Amino acid sequence: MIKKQERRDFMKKLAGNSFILIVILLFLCTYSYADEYHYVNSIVGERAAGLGGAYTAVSDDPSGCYYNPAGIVFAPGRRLSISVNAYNVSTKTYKDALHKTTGEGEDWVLKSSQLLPNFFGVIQQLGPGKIGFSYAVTDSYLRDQEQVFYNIRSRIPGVSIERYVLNIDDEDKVYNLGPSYALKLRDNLSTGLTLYLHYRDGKIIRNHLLNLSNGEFDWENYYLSWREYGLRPILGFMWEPFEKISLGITFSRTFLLDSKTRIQQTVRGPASYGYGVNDVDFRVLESSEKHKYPYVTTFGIAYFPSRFLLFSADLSYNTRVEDRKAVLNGAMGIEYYLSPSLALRAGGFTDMANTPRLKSGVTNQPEHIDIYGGTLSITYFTKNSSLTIGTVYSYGSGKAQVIPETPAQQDARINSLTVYIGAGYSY
Amino acid sequence: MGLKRFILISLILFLFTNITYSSDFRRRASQASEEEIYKTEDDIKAEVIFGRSLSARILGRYPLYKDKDITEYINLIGKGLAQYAGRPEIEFHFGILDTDTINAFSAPGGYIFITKGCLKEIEDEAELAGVLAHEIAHIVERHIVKEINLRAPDESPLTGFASLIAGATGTAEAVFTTFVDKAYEILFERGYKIEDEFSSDRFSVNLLKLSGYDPYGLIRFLKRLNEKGKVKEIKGTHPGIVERIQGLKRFMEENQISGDDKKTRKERFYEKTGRK
Amino acid sequence: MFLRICMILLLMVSPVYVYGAEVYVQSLKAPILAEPKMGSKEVATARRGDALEILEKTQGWYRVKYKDVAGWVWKLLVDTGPPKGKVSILEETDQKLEEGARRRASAYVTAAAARGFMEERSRLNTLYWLNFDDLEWLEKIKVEDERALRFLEED
Repeated sequence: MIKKQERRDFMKKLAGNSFILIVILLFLCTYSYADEYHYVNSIVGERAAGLGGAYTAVSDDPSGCYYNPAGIVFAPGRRLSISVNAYNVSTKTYKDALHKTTGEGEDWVLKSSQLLPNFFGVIQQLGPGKIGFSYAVTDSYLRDQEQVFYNIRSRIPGVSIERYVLNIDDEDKVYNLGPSYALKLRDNLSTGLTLYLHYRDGKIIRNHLLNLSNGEFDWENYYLSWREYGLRPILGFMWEPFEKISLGITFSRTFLLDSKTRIQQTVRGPASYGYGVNDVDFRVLESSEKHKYPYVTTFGIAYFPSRFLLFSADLSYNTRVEDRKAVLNGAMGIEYYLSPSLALRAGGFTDMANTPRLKSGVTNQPEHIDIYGGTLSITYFTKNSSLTIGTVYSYGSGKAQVIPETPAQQDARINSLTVYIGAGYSY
Repeated sequence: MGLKRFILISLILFLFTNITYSSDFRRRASQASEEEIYKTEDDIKAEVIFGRSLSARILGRYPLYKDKDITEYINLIGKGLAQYAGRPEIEFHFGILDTDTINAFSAPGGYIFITKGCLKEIEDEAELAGVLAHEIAHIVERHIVKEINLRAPDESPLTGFASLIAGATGTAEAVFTTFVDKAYEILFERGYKIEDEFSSDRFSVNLLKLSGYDPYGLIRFLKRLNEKGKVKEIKGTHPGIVERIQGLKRFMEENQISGDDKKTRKERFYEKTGRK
Repeated sequence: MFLRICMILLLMVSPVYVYGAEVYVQSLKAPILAEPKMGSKEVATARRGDALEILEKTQGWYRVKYKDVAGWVWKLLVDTGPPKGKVSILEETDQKLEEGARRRASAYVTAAAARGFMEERSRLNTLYWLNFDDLEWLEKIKVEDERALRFLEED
């Protein structure tokens, strides 16, 4: 059983045992379900993404299966399908994470880039209501980088790190896949339910090789992998209390059914720490502990003043869970039709950290970075189809403690840019 | 203070002043409204192409009775009636089917057929006009078009691309043939929706009045069929004849429409159909 | 200043009222009646192409303003947009139609084959027959609208 506390103890042990190895520790601290520090990771959907994700009160197309299933019953036509492919590049920079022997700081940058289909959905009439099926990649990153640092200070007096090679291969993907059904309870009130299968698959592979100034070297390899299955139901309601106004609310939570985490590590430490030429430490830790996801409530309001204009705003609340705080996020969007065949969308959103603000004098705190983002998209319509090109940009700043067992904090910055192409088709 | 109150009042007034509340407010500028769909020139062309295929199928079952004079006669009446209906863009065609069953059919795009058996039961021109008007109604009110959601395929290259990305399957052709099958099923097996039938009966009365025929044409014909016990032959695809007669009677009373014996043109009818 | 901006914003997003919309007469003539009943008194007669301003809507009828008269018109005689000319596909030459049919057929065959429907379709073809010959005979019988109208007015 690897509990969070156990992980920290393990880190401390490593710290005590050797280390200079600011670096392994570097790795260990950022070992986390990377964007587990934020709840708005990927804004999916052809139209929703342009509106900053403020879609709870709109949801009248296949992306409604994801945002608010109650809305799909208001979708026009008989059958509709949409699909989105996105390319994302993001960087996370820890300023002055390392220090050179000359005293200057050196940033540590993690880059992720990937191209993936991030949403597909189809809805159609079935009986008195509408049935839908959708697939969304709600969180995803892919890092594949090699870095070399020279002349870094170490914790051992009189010894510096001449060369530090750090190779990273990290991945994490969260998939939601499943059916939805929505029904009108009255002319202007509907309800819907989506039952997603939640599947998460990720790994972190780090390879560290340090050449010390005293001629010794340290080599460590970590392979951390995780996989979890669960269910994520989303219950939604949509109400049109007055003409041109729509209100939506949803309740959802991910319940894990199965989870497996495995850490495999190999260490060949420096000679002065007791490692003989052929001494290699090897250890495997496994855990089936299911981690807890928060309960999520979203509330949205949308105002449709004319066929050419739409305003939408959302608030989402994630409850406190395990050692993460409750988070309230907001989003807003506007859609404007330049002509019956061309629409422009713009939006903004917040993605606040679910970790507490860092306190001074304390060690091993998780990073706290609040993110703000904006979206922009343009859609071209023909009689039965639509084609959208859009972009999402977000920027976050905050603090982190990438070096364990030290109270030093670093300024951290996140920059993320996504460009996507989406298509909708009615038939 | 005055300003704030003004804004508040305007906001409230503005939110609540809409007299009609239609859920149509969700419709975006790119989406056609209920009233606009099926009406583009392409949609109408699609309707005519579809109607021809359906007609060819009807004629495959019951060939035409190729008497040029009588056919011309019913076309004169039918096209005259059609002028008073609301679809000037449709070129109507009226044909006689060579069968003794008593029935009349209409296919989208303006193709209307009446059987020889039906003509035999008709006694005057107003009755014939009534039957034709009922069929014209199905076309004007787009009953089949709406039931099978018949629209022109969207063939812009962008749509092909979008359908590729969005994963839609099937080509327009496969869909087209399925539609023809469905429409055939409506005509020969299932029948129109009951409301559509009653609606077409009412349309027939209105059209007869507008075009100067005796508005009692259709009801007189139905009554005679009922009395003669010829009901069984048409029941399959039409609602009960008794309900139709009662519905028509009620409609004419509510609308204060009275018969006009002078406008039946019985003599011309006998002359043109070769009856003595 | 702020007030002005608010007013402009409000006006910009004001709902567009349905009333004040226009419809056009599609049929040859459309009687404007005193009541929404076909048998009621005719107060005016509108002609094909005339524009009518909608004042009210009920089931199947519009209350409209025509010239200086207000009255009721049967909904099915009017439509948004002026009356269109006849839409016909027979303008295309026979050859083009043939090609079109062949093109459509071959596209269908590909789709059907891909979906394994080929066999079922050929079985169906023996069940019914598409009689385009009779249809073409019928389409060759030309009756002009004016002649039909005169025929109706005779007697």
